[in-house]
Amino acid sequence: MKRITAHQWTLMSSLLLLGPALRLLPHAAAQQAGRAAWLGALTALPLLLLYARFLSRFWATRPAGTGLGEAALQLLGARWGRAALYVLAGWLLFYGGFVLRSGADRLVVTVYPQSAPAVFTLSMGLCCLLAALGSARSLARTAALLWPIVTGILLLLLLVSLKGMDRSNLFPVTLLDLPALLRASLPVMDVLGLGLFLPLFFLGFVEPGTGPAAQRTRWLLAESLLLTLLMLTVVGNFGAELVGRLSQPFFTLVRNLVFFRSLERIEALVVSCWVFPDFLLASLCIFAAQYCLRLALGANPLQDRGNRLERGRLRWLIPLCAFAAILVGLLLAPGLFSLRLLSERTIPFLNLALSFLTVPVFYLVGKHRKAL
Amino acid sequence: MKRLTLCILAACLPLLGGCGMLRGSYPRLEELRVVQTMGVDKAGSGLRLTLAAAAADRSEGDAVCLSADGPSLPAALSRVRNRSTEETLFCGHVQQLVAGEDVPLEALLDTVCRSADLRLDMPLYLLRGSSVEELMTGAGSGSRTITDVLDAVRCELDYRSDSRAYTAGQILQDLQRQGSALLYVLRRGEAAENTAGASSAQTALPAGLAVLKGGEICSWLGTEALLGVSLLRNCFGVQELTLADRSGLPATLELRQGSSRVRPVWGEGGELRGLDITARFSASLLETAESPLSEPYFDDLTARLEGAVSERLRILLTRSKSLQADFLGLGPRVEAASPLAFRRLEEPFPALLPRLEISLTVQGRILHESDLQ
Repeated sequence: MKRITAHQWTLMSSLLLLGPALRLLPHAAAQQAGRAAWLGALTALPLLLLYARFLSRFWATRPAGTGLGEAALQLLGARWGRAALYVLAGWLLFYGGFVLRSGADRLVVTVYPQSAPAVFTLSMGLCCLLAALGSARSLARTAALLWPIVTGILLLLLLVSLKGMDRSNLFPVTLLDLPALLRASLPVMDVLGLGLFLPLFFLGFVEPGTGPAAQRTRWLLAESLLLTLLMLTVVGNFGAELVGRLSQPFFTLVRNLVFFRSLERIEALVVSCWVFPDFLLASLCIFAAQYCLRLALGANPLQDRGNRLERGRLRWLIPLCAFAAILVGLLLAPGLFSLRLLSERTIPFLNLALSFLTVPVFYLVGKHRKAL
Repeated sequence: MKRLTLCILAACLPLLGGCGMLRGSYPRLEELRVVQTMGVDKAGSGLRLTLAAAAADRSEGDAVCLSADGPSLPAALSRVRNRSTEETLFCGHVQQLVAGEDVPLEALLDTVCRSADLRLDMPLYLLRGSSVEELMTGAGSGSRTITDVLDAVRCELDYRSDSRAYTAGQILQDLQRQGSALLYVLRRGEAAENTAGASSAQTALPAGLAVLKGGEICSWLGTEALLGVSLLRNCFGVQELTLADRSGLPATLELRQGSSRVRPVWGEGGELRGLDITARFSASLLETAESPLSEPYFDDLTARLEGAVSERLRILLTRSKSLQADFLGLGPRVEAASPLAFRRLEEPFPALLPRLEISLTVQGRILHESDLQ
């Protein structure tokens, strides 16, 4: 089986969090911390570094080729391990459906105001099905190809936006802002926690001996700086009060950009580029969900080399999971307010709980059962 | 497997086949009429929207002006689009927004904020003394349109206030942070260019500033206020000032490089007692009847200049105190100077304004770089 390199795995982690970062961060952080929102990523960094260290030390105790799904069965036992896999698969499908829905909403709000989100949800879902029918290595290679494009565009836009920043929108920041800043670090932890947690499902596909889990410190530092630059630019341009009111502040910022006094209104192009991170994230969720279900039902998907839809190996679960995610995306949040509630409350709460509690629970139960 | 993959691709293709399935799809570029200026008047219980769209070719003549009424801005825009016999209107390139003095500005700003077409960095002007529709249909001459006229106005205002136009985004930020904001005011007037034998062209002229507070205009400031506002908000460009010298003759100076510093004065109990404001600027003498020039003349002129600027600043500060409106942005500057003490204030800063003792120091300097020998 051709495996994912550590570098591809890291780029996959970076690309998948760009969609949630733009959806959640400037808006939610500005509502919590006001002017100090741009420090949210740096505030969350110490805790994230500790958690990354815990993950790397935990995975060092696991045999080679162990992903999160395999770890669940190894540490929790057959019965509770399968139960955990069903829960994780359910969350992955729900979250994948939400990604499809929120991506569609972004296109409707910014570019196609007269359209219905269902068209975009369905189109993206079918594309994700095609991706999930392939190998994990294809997904990782796709991420490696797309990452420089999307990140390059993001950095270019942020650097061009620096000149429009107003210092009074960012300072002063005092110790009195600390409680609000701690609350503002929660959306950051949600986003970076997802980047730490979701790729764990794919650790079994990574080349043995490369230890990608141990390289998370540098990755966290780089991503924290990127998110800080994002919030610095958006809050610096609009002010925290206005950012808290805008639904898509980053894309509103892009709408105002003019290049060389002639090129403007490029937000449609930029929004289209953000289809790529959404596509990758939804595909990863669907792939990971079907992987968990196949593990729970007794298959060994890591060794799978057979026909893509062979019944005996349970690969028919792949289109089933994809259609389940599409259905969730079509039925979820029929209105704007319900989508906002999901986006700002339900999904972040679920993501935080699963990202930061799953592996520690596995560790504690494994310790108790002496399976570590 | 191939059959399934082909089926899925076949299912995707109609959905991905361009914008034909989506309502509101965009026509080709040459079929678009690009709207450059948008004007809003109050009309009964609704609004009257006027759009100025560029001519596809200057040789076609004047730009097109389209108007329609509606209960709200989006409704009026929809009516203009439906009734237009021209090409499809494209509102993504609107560069300026002009509102009549009776238009509910807070609702207008809200609409701009929500719109996927309009940008937050476009200037918002208030027109006083006539309707926006009359201005937009009558301004300019020949190939020069209302958009060109307003571009010239913006250039002048940027020159005078160091490129700080009051855009929709800036106004929204000021309203959120300070509770009040400033807008540039325009009036209809005659253009400077006069073709012999032809009637004078109409144009838009700067007519001062308006103070927006609580969603309504609470005060009007004349054109002379621009100097003081620019100085106190630290966005000073280039301004001319004519005053009487010691002989009673007019002397014209060009002021530039102006800035101000605000230092809060705190009481022992942590209450804000007052503000020490120091304003500095440089000036060049452009025109005077005095000859020859001497050092005592410059000293006297400097003192008179400082007095004139000081008077304008006092008028503005008094108006800000009486309105309890922090349109000069003093609150954020106090917060920048003493952030912890500011956070502990029991009342919002605008409410404290009437009780503050403001001490004003103006320091001017006339540069001798362009003196005649």
